Amino acid sequence: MLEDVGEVTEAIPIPNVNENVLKKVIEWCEHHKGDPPAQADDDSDSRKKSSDIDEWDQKFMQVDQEMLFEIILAANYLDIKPLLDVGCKTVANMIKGKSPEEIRKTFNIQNDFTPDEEEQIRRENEWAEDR
Amino acid sequence: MTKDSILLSLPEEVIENTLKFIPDDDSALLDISLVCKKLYRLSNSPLEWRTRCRRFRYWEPRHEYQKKVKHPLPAEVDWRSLFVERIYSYKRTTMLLNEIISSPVDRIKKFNKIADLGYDAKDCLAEHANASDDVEDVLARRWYAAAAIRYIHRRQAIIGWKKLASGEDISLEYALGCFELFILKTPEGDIDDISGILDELAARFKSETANFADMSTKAKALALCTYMNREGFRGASYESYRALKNAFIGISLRTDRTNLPLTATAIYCSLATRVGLAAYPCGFPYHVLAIVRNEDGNYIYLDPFRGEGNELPVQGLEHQLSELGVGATKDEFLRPSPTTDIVLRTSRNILESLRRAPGPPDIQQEAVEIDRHSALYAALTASALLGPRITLNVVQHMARRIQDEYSMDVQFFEEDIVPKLEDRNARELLLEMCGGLRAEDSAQRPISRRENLDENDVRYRVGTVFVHKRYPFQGVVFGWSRTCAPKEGEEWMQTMGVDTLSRGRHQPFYLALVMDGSVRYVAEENIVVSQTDPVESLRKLAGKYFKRYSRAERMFISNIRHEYPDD
Repeated sequence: MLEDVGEVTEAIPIPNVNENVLKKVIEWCEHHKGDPPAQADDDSDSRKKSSDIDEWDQKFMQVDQEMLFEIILAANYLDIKPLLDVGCKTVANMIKGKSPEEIRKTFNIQNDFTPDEEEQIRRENEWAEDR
Repeated sequence: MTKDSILLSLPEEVIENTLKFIPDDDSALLDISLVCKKLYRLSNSPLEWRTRCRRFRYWEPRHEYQKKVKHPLPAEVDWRSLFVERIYSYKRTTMLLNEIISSPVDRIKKFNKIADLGYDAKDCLAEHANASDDVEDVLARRWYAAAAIRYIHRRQAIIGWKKLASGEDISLEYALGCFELFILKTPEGDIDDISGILDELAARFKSETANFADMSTKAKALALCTYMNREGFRGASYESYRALKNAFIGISLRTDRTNLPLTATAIYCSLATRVGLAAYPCGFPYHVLAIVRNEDGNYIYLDPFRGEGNELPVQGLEHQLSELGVGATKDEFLRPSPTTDIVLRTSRNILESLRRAPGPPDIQQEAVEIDRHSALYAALTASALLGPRITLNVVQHMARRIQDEYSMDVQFFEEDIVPKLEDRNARELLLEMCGGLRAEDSAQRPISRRENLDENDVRYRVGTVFVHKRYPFQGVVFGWSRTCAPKEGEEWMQTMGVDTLSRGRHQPFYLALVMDGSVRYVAEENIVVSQTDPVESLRKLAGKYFKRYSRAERMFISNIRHEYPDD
């Protein structure tokens, strides 16, 4: 992004990112500054595995949920795709292997389905051989 | 708990980006849709389901998957249901495979349950067949996953030939590709891949041929012949004519493109059909030719094996037939051959190649290593399903293969082969054999314990890698008995001269899996513990009985603890 701006003499305002989060973001960028540029993003590529997070990043993401989501928001706002993906993978890892109820608990989500709606989706999700 | 969820407060595109990282191979994404309305909506975009479906390569034909992929309005396809079903197959396959690996009981039933899922199980099995080295039971996992893939391939071939036998219209490449399905060792190379190569060749021919659309049928037919020659298709030389690989259309297409008249013609006809010609194989004696039907309905005869691009004058062919003494019935040999005949002819070609001893390994000839047992089984199955009658000899050979390695094939054998036998006694005998295999498969295995043994009795444990004292082979112990007790009994001991061993028959004997794939029964005095790690071929084979190889212990780690709990 900075390359687009050209020679920078003035401060760039970052209104949506607080100082602690920005520090984390800078720490991440420092660590990854030598990384080769990311391949063009392609959804049809080989399967994305959420567990593919390198060790340093895993440690880096061991923060409370609030901070994790702040980092994701900052990465999104600052358009740092690789950091955004690491954050999203971390969240995906927190989701997989959990039942719907466990997911609700983890992320403080209200179940807003009526029992009928829930039953309907359950049926969509099941595949029975004799259907 | 009144605070709003931070996850849900993220911008929607960020939530969608997160959902992309949920793996395809479990039902996590389906669970997410049950959490709340917002996540249901975000996880439910048809195109995202499509993306997920597209990561799977193999589909059962009934899904008409290719048609769905090419649908002009992709959002109209019910990708979600397709994905839900795929996840079900995926989980079921993994569960059954895990059971097969962890217990020897009822493997026949479980292999058949996997095979009932057909190609829907193949992606999942291919992943297990490529399990990484650090998986706890890597060798067993790879071995049994590969065995399941091979079984699915065989079932596919059998289905194809049965359709042909019942008069359904099966393309030539499909009917011949079925032979390939018996010998493939990898998930790749099946009939879809054969068709893919043919599609590509046909498209290139069309684009390289100037004025193709304006050419006469005859000009097209001849141009295709020379095109094949240009593409490197060659008739096999006299010396390598009977090389086993020449009988397989897919191997010819994928490797050096050497072929027999039959394979050359089959490839020719498959390409010709693709570019709009009416082409058929012609069952000329000793040398299959190609026929292309002209605009006026007359036949043009060609020899793709020689690939010279000349038409063969019909008078010359008639003359040859007269010389062969079949002048009276010559029309029969100058007509298009039914696909069934071409399959049976291929079956005979394979048997003919197998009848000849493999001889000294000729690098050029057998660059493609084909398992001869599998090739034989393919040829026999074709002959049993498509031939005019089934002989006892054929069935006996098939039965031996089933006893040795393909016990899961009893189902097919009982349903499709045995009933075709005319001799009632033979039928009963074979059904008894099948019943025996099933009973053995469902039974608990006998247990051999060490608790009453001396320390020096039965010195080597299951998993020991050894070399034979007198023969240059490496093997691994997968069973033992305290004295010589071969299942073939006294006769075997006499033939092998067991009593001339220095310790005679009253010494421990070991069942060993050997690097060439054979199973031997070795006296303790002939076992020398190997000083080197097992060779690659032995590692692959070892998956039948072992979980993995431990370099630290120089042993294979047993997967047959139920039989040898103390080893």
